[in-house]
Amino acid sequence: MKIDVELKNVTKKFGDVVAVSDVSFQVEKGQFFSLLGPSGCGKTTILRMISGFEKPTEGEILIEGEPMADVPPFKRPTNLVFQSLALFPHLNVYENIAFGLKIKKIPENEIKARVKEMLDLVRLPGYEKRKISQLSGGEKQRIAIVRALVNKPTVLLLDEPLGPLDLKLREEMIVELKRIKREVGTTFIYVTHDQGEALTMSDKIAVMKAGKIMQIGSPIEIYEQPNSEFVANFIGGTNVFKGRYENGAVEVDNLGKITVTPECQLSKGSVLVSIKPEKIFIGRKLNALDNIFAGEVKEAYYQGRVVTYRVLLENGSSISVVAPSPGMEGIFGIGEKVKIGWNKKDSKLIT
Amino acid sequence: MSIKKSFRNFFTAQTNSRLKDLLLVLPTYLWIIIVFFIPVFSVLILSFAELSPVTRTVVNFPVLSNYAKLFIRTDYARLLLRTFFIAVTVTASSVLFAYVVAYFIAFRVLKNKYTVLFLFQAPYFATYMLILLAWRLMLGSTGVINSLLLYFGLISEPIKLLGYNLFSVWLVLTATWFPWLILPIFVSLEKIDRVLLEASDDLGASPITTFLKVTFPLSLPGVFVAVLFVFIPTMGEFIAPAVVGGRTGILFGNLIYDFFLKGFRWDVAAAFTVYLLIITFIAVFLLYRRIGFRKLMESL
Ligand SMILES: Nc1ncnc2c1ncn2[C@@H]1O[C@H](COP(=O)(O)OP(=O)(O)OP(=O)(O)O)[C@@H](O)[C@H]1O
Ligand SMILES: [Mg+2]
Repeated sequence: MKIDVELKNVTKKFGDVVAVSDVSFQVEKGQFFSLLGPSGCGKTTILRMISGFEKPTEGEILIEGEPMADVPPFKRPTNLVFQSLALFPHLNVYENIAFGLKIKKIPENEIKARVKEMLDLVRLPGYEKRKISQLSGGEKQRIAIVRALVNKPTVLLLDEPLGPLDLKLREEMIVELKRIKREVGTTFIYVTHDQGEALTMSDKIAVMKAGKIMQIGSPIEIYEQPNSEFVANFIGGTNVFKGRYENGAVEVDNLGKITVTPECQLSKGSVLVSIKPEKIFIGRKLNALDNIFAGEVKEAYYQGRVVTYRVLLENGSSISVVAPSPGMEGIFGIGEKVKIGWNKKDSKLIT
Repeated sequence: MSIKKSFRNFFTAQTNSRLKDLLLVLPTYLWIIIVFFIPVFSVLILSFAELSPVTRTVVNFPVLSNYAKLFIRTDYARLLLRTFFIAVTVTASSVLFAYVVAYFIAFRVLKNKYTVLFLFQAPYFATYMLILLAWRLMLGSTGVINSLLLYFGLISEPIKLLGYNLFSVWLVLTATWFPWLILPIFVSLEKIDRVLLEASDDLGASPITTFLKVTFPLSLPGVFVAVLFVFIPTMGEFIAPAVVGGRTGILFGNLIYDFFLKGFRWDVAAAFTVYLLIITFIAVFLLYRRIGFRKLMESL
């Protein structure tokens, strides 16, 4: 597989602040690669280094195998969709999209055709003459994406392009972006702090924390096999218990044994067990599950498709449970005594 | 609707909010009328009157003879043309210098930007007259510059260009104007979101292309303000030519001044002032057509 972008031990310091610390990864041609992490973890800084606006303090960046150290932004085969969009306010939609093409001295009729093609791609046909100030948030977003995309970059870099949109529009734009990605086939590096977006769209995700990459993997790997408590939590709130591993089970203080799958038996001694909330069953009576505990409902949120509970267990720790919507039977009330349980294959050991 | 009812409505809240708005801005308009329109209007009327040179009473009204004076002697019209030319050149050069300085402060000075800006505003503290007299001492065939150059043997005879002439008028006007123009240009440059320049860079524009396609167009409001700032007063300038202009450096303003105070021809002076007003209005109108008042005023 051809590698489009490669970072080798890249570190970036701003004075004393270490924004990015010893980051390495490879992005294959045509891949949708996401950088996922909380605010301030260095995602934008990485994109800015790939597009050339910041120089790495240490390490090396290669695009299509070429070292980029001495290549200024305007000569790199990348285009960036800025976090703040950065559409030119003095130009209309057409002139914004045509900006890069005009610089490349592409004939006017070809520019016209390509701009039209792009506006069709993002379903904004006939918007050529609009001023930027006359666009809605979602429309601006889409114009910013095609202004970059129209240049047919080797790599398209997107910095939280859906950040300021409302939930409904975000969901629409996610579908839209996936479609665009499928149709153009360009390599995407996508920055987000929203794990839902990353899981939905990516071929590969790098989860970041404080300038470091914690884990790189496919959405399924990241979600099902988080390698740390941070990743497990960040990728969709999980339940973590601390205990000691012994003979296929983890002994948790004041709670008892949690059985785990045999392949987890590699680790010894003090371990963490993670159980995803949606893998846990809740009911007045439960049987045929490997781990069953009693508890009391402390919080219950009806969310339409699912119900989220917080259940207080006997050892004083609380566990969150996401159960399918129960229909008209109703949900468990606060204070109700319930049983919760899960299968041992859903107890994941993390190191 | 009865008259009584409409009269009552006159004072109720919703129906006459426009009238209320008008009342609110009325003092401002009154002020503008008093300080601007009344004098201009008087000049306008005067320009169509023929005054007796002795008693200064109106002999004839309305007449166009005052306006015709411009074309009776070719050197009057030529002087107006020359003044227009000088105003354009002074505007171009002072705006250019101011732009370079403002650009430098806005984009290249990283530390103490505002201190540097402030230092360039220092000439505000000296009065115009003081600056002009200083220039008068420096220029001239026996002025400081020529004397020093002669003294050090760098030249064998005084540089003519630095005498009291039209070139010196241009030089002095440019030098005194440009610090005033830095501020409006700086403000419009400073307002530009830096990420737009990065976006241009990212889309393949070299630094020069970015300047031409993004920075410069976005700074135009400040440039337009600067242009008005310098062009309008330079069209009517008569002090600098009087101080450093010598015999060849006089401008249309000096002609009006002479008609007014030396020749006591207020009527002709008024007509010639109207010529200046017309040129100024055309200039403002053209700029207005180009970007609109709103942008122009916003950038102030
Ligand atoms: N120019 C700079 N000078 C100093 N510190 C900086 C600079 N740019 C970024 N930083 C710091 O580097 C860290 C990473 O910033 P970065 O913008 O990459 O975060 P991010 O992951 O994109 O966050 P967000 O999701 O909020 O956009 C932050 O602590 C930030 O304060
Ligand atoms: Mg960011």
